[in-house]
Amino acid sequence: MVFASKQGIKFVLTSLTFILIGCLPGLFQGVHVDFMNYVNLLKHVSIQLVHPTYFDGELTHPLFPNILAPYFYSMKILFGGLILSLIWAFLGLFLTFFLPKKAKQVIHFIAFLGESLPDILVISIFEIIVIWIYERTGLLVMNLSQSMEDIPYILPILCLSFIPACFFYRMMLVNLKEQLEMDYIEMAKSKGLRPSAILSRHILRNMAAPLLSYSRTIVWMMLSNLVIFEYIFSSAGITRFMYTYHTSLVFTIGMFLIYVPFFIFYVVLSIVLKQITGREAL
Amino acid sequence: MIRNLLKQPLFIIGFLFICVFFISSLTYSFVTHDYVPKKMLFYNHQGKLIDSAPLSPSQAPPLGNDTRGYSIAAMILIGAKTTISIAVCITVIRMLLGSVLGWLYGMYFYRFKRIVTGMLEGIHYMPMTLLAYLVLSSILIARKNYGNFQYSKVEREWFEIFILALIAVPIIATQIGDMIGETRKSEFINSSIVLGAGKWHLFWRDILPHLTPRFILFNVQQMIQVLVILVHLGVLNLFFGGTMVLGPPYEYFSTSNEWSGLLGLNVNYLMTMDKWLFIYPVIVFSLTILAFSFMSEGIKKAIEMPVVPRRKRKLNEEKEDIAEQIYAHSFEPLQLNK
Repeated sequence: MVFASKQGIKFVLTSLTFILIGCLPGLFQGVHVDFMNYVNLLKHVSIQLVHPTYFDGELTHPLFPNILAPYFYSMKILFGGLILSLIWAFLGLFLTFFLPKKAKQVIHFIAFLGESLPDILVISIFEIIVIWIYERTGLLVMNLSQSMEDIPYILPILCLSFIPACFFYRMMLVNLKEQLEMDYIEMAKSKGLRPSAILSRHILRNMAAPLLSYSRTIVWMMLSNLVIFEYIFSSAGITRFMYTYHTSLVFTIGMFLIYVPFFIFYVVLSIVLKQITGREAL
Repeated sequence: MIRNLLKQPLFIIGFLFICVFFISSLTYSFVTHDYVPKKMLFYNHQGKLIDSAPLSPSQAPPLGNDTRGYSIAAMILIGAKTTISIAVCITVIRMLLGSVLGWLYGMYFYRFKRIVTGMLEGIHYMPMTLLAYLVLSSILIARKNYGNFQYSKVEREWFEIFILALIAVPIIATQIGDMIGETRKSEFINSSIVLGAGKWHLFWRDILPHLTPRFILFNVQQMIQVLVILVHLGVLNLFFGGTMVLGPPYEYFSTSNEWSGLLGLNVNYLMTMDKWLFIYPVIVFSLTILAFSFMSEGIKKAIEMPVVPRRKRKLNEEKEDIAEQIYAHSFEPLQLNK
């Protein structure tokens, strides 16, 4: 009960901060600070929240349901990218776990390079590869100019998962090293447990909580990657929608919509983790 | 710390790259006064006209020309010093404001930690690029049809610098505050308090020396983020200092010669045959980011290395010397009553 009310308060307060931050453009009248203007914009936006609209240069449209299609598309590729990057990282971890130390260091360094590359380079290289494949084989792997009936999923997810996978991999490797030096591993070994059992049953369980808190930083980074991705690939996603119709109202509602699934995701995960590990995550 | 840092090859590589790049950019501007070579047409050996701008890297070495015939390489080189100095400027403002607020939070208001982190929860889902775009677009974008910019160039640039600094201050302040607050819980702080240290002394003499390496690391990481957000804004057609829009059909022009303009103007060539217009600037930008990442990784490793004060080492050596002497003499016959 305490947990539920706490999360409820958090949810409401966070939604309020979206309005407060979304109205920040009103704080600046030109290059000067104008607080009354900010308050007025706040009032204006709060009233408009009941029937949100956006202006496309000629006509005013209702925001719902026009924002929902790009929103669901973005969420699919975002969550897809997050899950795929975790899968990459776990695969990499298991594959490199038994390698000699020198090879591990090399792979660690490659992952470091991967995570420090700016997203804009990764996305451009991806796009060039898609065009190159098309030029060579005539096979259009991903439709670069999007039409409504043919919306790509696989390639955006692949493209978005690259940098987070490097982050996750490196983080998990460091975490694994720390875990392996702990006493309970010695204990488990001396009891005669198989290494695979130790890894899957004990180490992974202890790695889950730090992984969860680390993943929030990654989600933040992925969201800003998504902005650039949707711009360069001109895909119909929520951040492109927010960029095209950049008003305080659209920004506030867009942020709220992005926040809701992640809020549910993290609440569910922390409940599950509490059941499994008995520890408070987040 | 510095001695450890000089032992890190990653740090040295990154640092040297940035220094050489910056200094060569300065020198180029100093010698040629920002001269950009221009070449519109390309003739072959027989003097026959083959191609016009944009020219590919093989026709106009080293990195090709853009649509107006200007050399990409020269523009990258000229833009380097401006871009890096803008980023340094924004980082310094961010870190100054963030440290003052973080110091207040960590030293005096740390018991409200739950409330503060709860309030800032929302920012962790906000793409900073979009937020910056939302705030800046009304001032930095001028449509030619509706007249010129409302504010002068200097005003626009400082406004952008301050906004880009301010949007990150809450996060930086909480992170620095957390660092200070966590350090205050450690044992050596307790013993210092027992010995009668006040808050002022505690911060300057105990906490600050302890946190300085991490603070430097934080600076470098912020530098990377600032560069990335500048270039992201450039790709979204919001160039540093303002965007001039002509049209429709819309054409965008940068009013300054730094990298966000260079990248943003050429992003649409990515899908055409003239990819190099975008790819080479992006590669140079990525190398710069990598250099900063190398620096931050080097600092991280240097922090993890054990710090051996110089005086102590000397003492140890002396001790060893004495031990050796004793050992060397231990097999000699004892000479009593010389």
